[in-house]
Amino acid sequence: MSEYFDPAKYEGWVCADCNIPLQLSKVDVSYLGNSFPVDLLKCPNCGLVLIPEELALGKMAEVEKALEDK
Amino acid sequence: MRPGGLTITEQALAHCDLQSGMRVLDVGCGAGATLRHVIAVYGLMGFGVDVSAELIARARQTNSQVEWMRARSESLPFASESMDVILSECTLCIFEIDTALSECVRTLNYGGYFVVSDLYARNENGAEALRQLPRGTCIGTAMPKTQIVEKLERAGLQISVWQDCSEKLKEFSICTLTTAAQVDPFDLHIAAAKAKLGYYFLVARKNNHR
Repeated sequence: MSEYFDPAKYEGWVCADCNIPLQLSKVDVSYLGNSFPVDLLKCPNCGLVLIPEELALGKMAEVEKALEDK
Repeated sequence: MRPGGLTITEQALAHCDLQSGMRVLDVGCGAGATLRHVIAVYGLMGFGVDVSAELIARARQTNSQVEWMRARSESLPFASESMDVILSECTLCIFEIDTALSECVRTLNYGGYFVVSDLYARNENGAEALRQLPRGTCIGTAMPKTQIVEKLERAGLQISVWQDCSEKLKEFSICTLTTAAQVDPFDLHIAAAKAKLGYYFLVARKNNHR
C-alpha cells in the first residue's frame, strides 16, 4: 500500500450526497500541467473524491510547491 | 515506450548522414520498435541487444531481418569498429554507464554516430533528490547535462548536437518510467520537480583518430 494515505482510517466513510460508501479508486491528480494517477477514496456514483487532510497539507502541498518552483 | 517515441528518433537521425546498408545497433532495444522503423525507412542493417529474454523473443517474432541478441550493453557481442550507428533510447542512465560507453565506443567505427535520448536533471543541485528514490527507477539515476557530456567526452565521443525536448515529458506520465511499484507517486514528482527532470537527445561521433 502507498505511504501517502491510509484507507483504513476512513473505513465506513460515505458520500454525503449519495449516501454510498467511498471506494478506493485510481484518480488522476493534476497541477500546473503535470498529471499522475494515485489511489484515493471516491464515490462510485457521483465521482466525488476524498482528499485526506494529512495528504492535502502534506505531500500534496509539497508537490505543488516543488512544481511551482520548477 | 518512452517520451517522444519515434518522433525524437527521427529528429536525432536527421543530424546523421545515413547511407543505405550502414550497420545500426540499438542497445536496450526492447521489443525492437525503433529498429524495425529505422531499417524500413533508411535501409540500414539492424542489430538489437537487450537483457530481457522475453523482449528479445518478442522482437524476433516481429522481424527476422534484424539480428536480435540477448546481451548486456556493458558486454557487447560484436567486433570492434563494426557499427556505423549506435542508438541508446531511454537506456543510458540504467546502464553501468562508463562500462557501457566504453563498449559502445569500441564497437563504433571511427566517425560513427552515437545517438542518445534520455532523462536528465536540468537542475544540477536537485539531482540529489532523485538519488533518494527507491531502487528500480531509471529516474533515480538521471544525471545533469555536465556529467553526461563529461562521460561521453572521456569515452572518446564528440557531441555535435544536444537538443532539449523536455516538453515530451509532459505528454508522458513519469510513473510509467518506473518499474518499482512501491514508489510513492508524490515522492516521485517531488524529486522530479526539484531536479527539474527533463528529456534530451544528443548526437555524438566517435573521434576520428586512432
